[in-house]
Amino acid sequence: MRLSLRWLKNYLHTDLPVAKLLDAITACGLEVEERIDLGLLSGKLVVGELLNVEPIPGAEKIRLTAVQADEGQPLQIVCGAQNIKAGQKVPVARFGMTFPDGMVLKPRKIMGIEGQGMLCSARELGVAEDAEGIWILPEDVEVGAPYDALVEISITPNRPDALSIVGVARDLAAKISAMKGFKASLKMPDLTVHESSTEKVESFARISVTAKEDCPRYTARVIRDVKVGPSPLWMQVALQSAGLRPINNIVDVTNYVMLELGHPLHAFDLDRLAGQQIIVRHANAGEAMQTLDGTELKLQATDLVIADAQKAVALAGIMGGANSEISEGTTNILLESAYFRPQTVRATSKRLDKSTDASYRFERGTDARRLTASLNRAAQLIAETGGGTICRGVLDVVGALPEKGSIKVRVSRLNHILGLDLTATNITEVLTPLGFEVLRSDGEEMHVTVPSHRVDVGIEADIIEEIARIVGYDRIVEVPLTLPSAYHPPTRIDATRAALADAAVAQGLCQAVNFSFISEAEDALAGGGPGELIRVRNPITSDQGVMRRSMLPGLLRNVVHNFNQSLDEVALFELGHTYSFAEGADAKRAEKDLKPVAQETPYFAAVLAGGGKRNWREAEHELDFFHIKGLAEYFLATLGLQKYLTESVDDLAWLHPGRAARFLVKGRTIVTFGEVHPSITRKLDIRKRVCYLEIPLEAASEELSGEIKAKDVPKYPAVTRDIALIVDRAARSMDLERTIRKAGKELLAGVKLFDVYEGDKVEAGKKSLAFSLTYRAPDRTLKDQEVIDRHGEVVAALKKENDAVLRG
Amino acid sequence: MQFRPSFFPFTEPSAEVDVWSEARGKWLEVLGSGMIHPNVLRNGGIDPEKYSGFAFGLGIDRLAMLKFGVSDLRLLFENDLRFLRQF
Repeated sequence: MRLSLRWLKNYLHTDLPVAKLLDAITACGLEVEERIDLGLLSGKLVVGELLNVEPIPGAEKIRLTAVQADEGQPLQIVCGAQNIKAGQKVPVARFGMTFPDGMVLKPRKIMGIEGQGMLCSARELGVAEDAEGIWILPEDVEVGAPYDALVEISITPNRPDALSIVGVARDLAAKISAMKGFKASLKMPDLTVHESSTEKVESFARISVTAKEDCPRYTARVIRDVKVGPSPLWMQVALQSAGLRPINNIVDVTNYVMLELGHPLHAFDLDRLAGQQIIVRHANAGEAMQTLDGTELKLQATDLVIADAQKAVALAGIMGGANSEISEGTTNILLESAYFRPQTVRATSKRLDKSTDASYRFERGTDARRLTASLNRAAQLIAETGGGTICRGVLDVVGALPEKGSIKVRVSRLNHILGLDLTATNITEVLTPLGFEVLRSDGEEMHVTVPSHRVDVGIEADIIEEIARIVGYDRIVEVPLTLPSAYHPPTRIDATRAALADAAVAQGLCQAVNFSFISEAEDALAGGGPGELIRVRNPITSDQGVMRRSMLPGLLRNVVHNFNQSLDEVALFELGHTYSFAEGADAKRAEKDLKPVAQETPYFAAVLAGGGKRNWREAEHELDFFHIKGLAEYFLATLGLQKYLTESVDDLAWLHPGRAARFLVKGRTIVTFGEVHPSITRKLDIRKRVCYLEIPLEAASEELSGEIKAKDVPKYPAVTRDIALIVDRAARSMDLERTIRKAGKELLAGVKLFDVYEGDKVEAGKKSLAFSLTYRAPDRTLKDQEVIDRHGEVVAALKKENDAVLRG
Repeated sequence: MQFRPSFFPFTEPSAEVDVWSEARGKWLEVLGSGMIHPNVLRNGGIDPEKYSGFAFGLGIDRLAMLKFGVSDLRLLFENDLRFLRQF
């Protein structure tokens, strides 16, 4: 909310200097975010009075003005704007004034005349973006005085009461009164209304409320014979200061009072209301209406509308309808001041994506018990600015209003929580200016009623916060905290994480961080995942609607991003969690209609993709299955896992069959790796292989071996025998290797696949695999015959078990 | 360092903590904090009459941005290798 300090001072009477006032606003919890200086902060902009405006010979568009801006001689200022004339009050920037765009005013000559300042437009000052010409100020402002300062304050969602100038002034009056050496008081605007008509309001309009829960109270007044036209300059300037655009005297009054008192109002053209009647009801499903910004809306039965006898004339609390809008020809007005249930306004505003100054306030909660104060203030201002007569009486339909709360506050509890030493009297002094009323107090137990504008205060802790806020956090003494300290060694999972991250970085991978929220499409593309999908109830954006069941979608997104940036090779790893509802129903929870417990599973995952030519010594390469397998082996070695089983993977739809595998320890998967299925990469328009690896950290950390136990190096020499085998093309080397190890028994010290051949030198449908076998005994040098015999057994076993024949 | 009243649904009273940046000549918001809301304690099975607690939430991404001079929060989650390789 943009706050004009000049306007604020109408209600806040204080001796606190302006510079300290800004700090006080922030210290109330109403954070000052930005400031627009209109002289009050720097003294570089003052109010001037135009004494004379005359043309400059030879210049068509610019004119020379004489401006009284202080007690000295009038200033000579050259000005190009056309809307100025003698007698007007205008903002005059002096040299050294800094404008919002960063420009600093310096002396310069125009048409040979050196000006002594600059007349400013609202746009140049950052007040209004679309304003033309010099900003003409109200007649009653004091010449020579700095004009104003506008501050953008950020109001937290719990404080709708501070979304008005009086609301801010009320907080400040309390805050400043609690400061040492300064005084402040709140001066409310005049809320009296002069009902100048002799006729009763009931003769002109009727109100009925059918949606009582969503509209607990609706009040209205009728003002007759008004003349619609521009509002007075002082009101226009006030609205501009707050960032609103003046429209006409009637609409401007409703906006002015909303900014002043915080309650949104709406004015209807009474003669355009069929049956001279207001009905507050739910919309009919599919009911159409056009709001005054010109959009056509289609409504639902949960939307609340203000209707006349025939049609909807406003979307309650959000925006008026085009069909009942105030126009130049309007003469009779029905002025609305109502309380709408915040949830109802919020739901409709959100669904229709229509947020207005009114809905912003209604959905946070307005003061249900002070409707007629705003109504009277606005009616009186309309009568004063638009002529017209106010009919006698108020139309008022009241249902069940929000309860007025009373809270028990214990002085000892308050002091304990805040670390202060306040008495019941101190507390009363703080609460009273905020509108709270202390009903009774025995010095320890206080009973406090909450003012109806404070919709955020409901429990003792809220009152404690009020005290802290107004007394000031800076008054709370710092006390060193003494806590028993303890060393917590890293858990096994932490240690596994750290080891894998270090190893991945050492291999040249970069660490990625992805959100746990992904889109449902990304989840589906990556093959879903184990467990049931968790949907986010209120997602930030639609592409973050579900929680990831796999690390793959995020890393795939990163691969796409980096390839789109024309990078050749992507190597990333990520530490994170996957989320799902546990598989299988939990009977106990199902009974209560609850989902199974959501589980989060820690993972390490990596992705390799692309390739190219890294340098002149290396050939062009593309990262593939063998690279990710090598990486998987390396990670297991990092974890000290040397014994594991390899199993090919064909049960995961998102991995390329024949190019995917897993390593298992004691039957548990420690790592799954392989090339991502081409049907997935094709959909993402990735033209290269994408290799992926994931390690479930719980399993890996449980198998994490402890310290390394060193073995002696072999004392006796080894003998190596190579064999080339012709096998079926579909045969797997791991099956052959298993046979070799089994038949080689205790003498076989190692086996390694060193060549694979398919081509015209072997029969079609076959391939050749070449293994190198190492034989060794721990306690003696092997004799030739021993090796020949055992090697013969291996060859025989390969023939029998795997149908493998020696290549001739 | 300064404490400023603020609002978080899970603390009461709440405070925003700013640190003064000499280099930038202004206060920088670094964390939200407060006394744990009695309802939070109660829902966690802890009697708020017996216990009270502090809550502090440090945005590590914000601190990383300040420390490394990162201009845009999105850079931290885009995982662009040209950004990641700088660390």
